[in-house]
Amino acid sequence: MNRTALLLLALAAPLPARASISVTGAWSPAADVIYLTATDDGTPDRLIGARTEVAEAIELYESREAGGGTRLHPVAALPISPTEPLRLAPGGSRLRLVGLNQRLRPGDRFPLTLVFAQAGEIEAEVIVGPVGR
Amino acid sequence: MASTRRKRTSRPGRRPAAGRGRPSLLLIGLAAGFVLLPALLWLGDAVTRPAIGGPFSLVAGDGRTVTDRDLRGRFLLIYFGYTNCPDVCPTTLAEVSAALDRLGPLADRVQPVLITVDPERDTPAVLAPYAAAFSPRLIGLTGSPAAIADVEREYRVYAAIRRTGGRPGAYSVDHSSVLYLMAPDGGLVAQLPADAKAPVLAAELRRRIS
Repeated sequence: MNRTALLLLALAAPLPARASISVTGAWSPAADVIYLTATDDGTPDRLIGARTEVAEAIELYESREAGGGTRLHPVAALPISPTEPLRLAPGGSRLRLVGLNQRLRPGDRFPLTLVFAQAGEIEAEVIVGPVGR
Repeated sequence: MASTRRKRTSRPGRRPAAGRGRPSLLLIGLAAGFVLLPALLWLGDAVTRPAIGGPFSLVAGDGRTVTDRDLRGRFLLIYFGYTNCPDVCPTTLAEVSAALDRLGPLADRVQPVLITVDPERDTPAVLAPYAAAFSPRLIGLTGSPAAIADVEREYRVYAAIRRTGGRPGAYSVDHSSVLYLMAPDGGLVAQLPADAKAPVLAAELRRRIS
């Protein structure tokens, strides 16, 4: 393929969408769980997956009120929109780490990739600490 | 019970002598006390028995043995939890640390203690940095499964393994969540709610340890 064609092809490729989702305060209490807050400046979206090198897989759990208490249910997606930030915190919805391949110690940091249906992959850094950030 | 009844006088207008009513009341009080006090002590004993707490011999983060006797002389604020606990333990321990920070010099009277309900995974090497991350005051104690089971029984702690996957280490521990405030002599002062926020917890502690 000649250079001109390549250039045209590159220009024709869609520009990456403006990153409308920002993730803050991703942390883990040294257990098989990740909490974080994510806000969405753009269109309503859904968190549909996540991955990290410290575990085999990450599952999404949603907290729902049921008969006087809250219960956690594995879900395929967690919603996020400009009016409804995604708040994963103790006692509520969370990311569960499956098959941790190392012991998490307070102070450790590890990368996390969140996958959103519209926004695509968003990188974040998880800090392991007693609580919060 | 001895009692005196003041006779109703049939003579209208007659009033008893000024001092007469009081000695009888005094007699009633004394007599009642002699009879009721032992009764109340017996009842109180029945209500508080069986006592929460008891001797333990556990292992601290540096590997040394720590017994209940080693910890006498200060109030103890004991929490049963474990390091792989996703939410209840970290939030409780964070509030305990913050509460003690609010107490100022009074905090020196209280020793916060974390006793693990997961002795298999929570070895001293694991527990020490976990406890230290919350507060330099917090000591984490572990031990043999038998020693941990003993102390759980003495504190009437509920703890049960819940498997979360196929591999051996894939489990969480369901457990009761209570803060036990023990007196310097080892007796139970109060059970405080583990979901209490730092200001409330600090007030509860201040009230009891001042």
